[in-house]
Amino acid sequence: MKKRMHMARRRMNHIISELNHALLLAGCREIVLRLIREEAGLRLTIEAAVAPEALPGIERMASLLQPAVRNPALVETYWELAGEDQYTSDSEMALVGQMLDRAQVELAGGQVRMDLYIAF
Amino acid sequence: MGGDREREKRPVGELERVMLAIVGLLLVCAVLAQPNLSLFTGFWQIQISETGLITDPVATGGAGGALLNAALVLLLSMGLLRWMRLPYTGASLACLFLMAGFALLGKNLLNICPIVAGGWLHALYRRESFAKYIYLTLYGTCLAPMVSFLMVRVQPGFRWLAMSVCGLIIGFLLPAIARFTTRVHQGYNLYNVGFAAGILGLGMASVLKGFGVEFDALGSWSREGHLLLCLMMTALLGGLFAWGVVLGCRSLKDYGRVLRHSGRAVADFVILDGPGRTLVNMALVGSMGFLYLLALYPQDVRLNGPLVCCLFAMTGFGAFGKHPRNVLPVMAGAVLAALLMIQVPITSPGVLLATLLCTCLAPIAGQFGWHWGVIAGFVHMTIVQNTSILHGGMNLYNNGFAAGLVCILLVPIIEAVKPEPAEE
Repeated sequence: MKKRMHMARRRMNHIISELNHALLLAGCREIVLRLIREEAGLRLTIEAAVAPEALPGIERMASLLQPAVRNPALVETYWELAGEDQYTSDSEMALVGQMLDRAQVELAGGQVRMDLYIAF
Repeated sequence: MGGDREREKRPVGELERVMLAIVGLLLVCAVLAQPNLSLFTGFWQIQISETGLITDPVATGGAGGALLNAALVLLLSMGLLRWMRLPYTGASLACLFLMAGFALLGKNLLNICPIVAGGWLHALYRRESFAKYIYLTLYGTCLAPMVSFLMVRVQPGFRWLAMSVCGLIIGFLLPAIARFTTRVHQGYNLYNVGFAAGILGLGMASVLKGFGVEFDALGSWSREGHLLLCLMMTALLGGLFAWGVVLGCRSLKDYGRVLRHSGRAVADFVILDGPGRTLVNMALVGSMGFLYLLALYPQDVRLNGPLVCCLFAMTGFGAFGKHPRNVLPVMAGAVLAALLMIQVPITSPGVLLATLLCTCLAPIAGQFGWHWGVIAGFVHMTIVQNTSILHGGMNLYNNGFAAGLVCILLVPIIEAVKPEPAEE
């Protein structure tokens, strides 16, 4: 458990970095992050106000964070690249989506709410 | 295990069927090439022969034996993916195509098995599922020539032990190095494990050289089977295109989504844009390499094992980062370098391979612009001429190794001279 917690913590740091980056670039003025250490994993909730012109980008982000399939072999090879992107391609967001064990993203009333989870 | 993922099945079936169809195509072509017992004797000859950087199994065991070897290596790799219940995404397609392709350039059932076992030991040591290390392990089989080398060169009685230990060491060490090298090139080299294997191969070859082992420049280059291999590639690429259309990619606008990506890892097109667009893109990327080789037919270039291997590599990574827009500039740069350099005729085996495999640097063109892609291809062609000596020709992904070095050289320079992106 100790080892897996260490790995989940490192991965979560990369995810936070990537999401901060993407949301600020999308034009979000205020981002509220809440990180909770639960019994079996780390939960990150994010709330941010989204400008109307940024909505398509956030919708794309939502779909990438909730992929149809998750591939653990892909994550093992590349996860350290998440959070390194300086040029905002959506491949990094796809990687974040792969790194998560569960994700729920809701867009309503100009607000985006993310509930992201990594298991130990 | 806590970290295990939910593995859904929906897109898996379709892409797995595509790969099974390719196994079938390889088997049919194998039988057509050698419809007699020589198919099996040729296949066995390939298993027990020494391999190197440019050794053509078609020359060793005939086109049929080589294609049978490719089909079985692909089937074994697919079996591992199925056993681990991994979903088929772009990364899986790239990995499987590379396995099948490089079975036509040095990998065989016998020399990859110890490395796969080493990867399994790595997972066991880390107390994690082998599923996480499948790609790294399968890619790691690019050092299989070292296993074959020991099998052939070591005295009888010790050879099985030597090759097993060597394979286990490679398989055990490579995942750790490959994870590290990803950070070094920042995802701009699509053949990441080639870079890692080059470094490990450099270390292992240096140790062996220190003990008096000499690595000869082994090579073979066949010219038989051109027509059959052309027909096979046409069927493969046409089939992928048609399957992609059936899966929903029915217009240029539809396909155009793929071209927006820089290709920098992780650009898994199945995840990003769906299987239909991915299959069409794979067909188009593979066709670019195929047409390039056909254009060199008057210069006496004929399709053989190594060249089909390159076409498989290009096609496979059409699911994981390569598309016509980012591949063309890099290939153009490599061709330009080959035309300008006196030492490397454009139709020599090494140059042909480098022109097709330098496309692993496609993300540089996709991210920084076509002009940087041309420069990357040019620099790659010059560097790759001097890398094989470092690992004694034991790393089949020599172009991946060279591409890693190109990234270390170019990416910091590009980032230093490129203006910061404007943000509001």
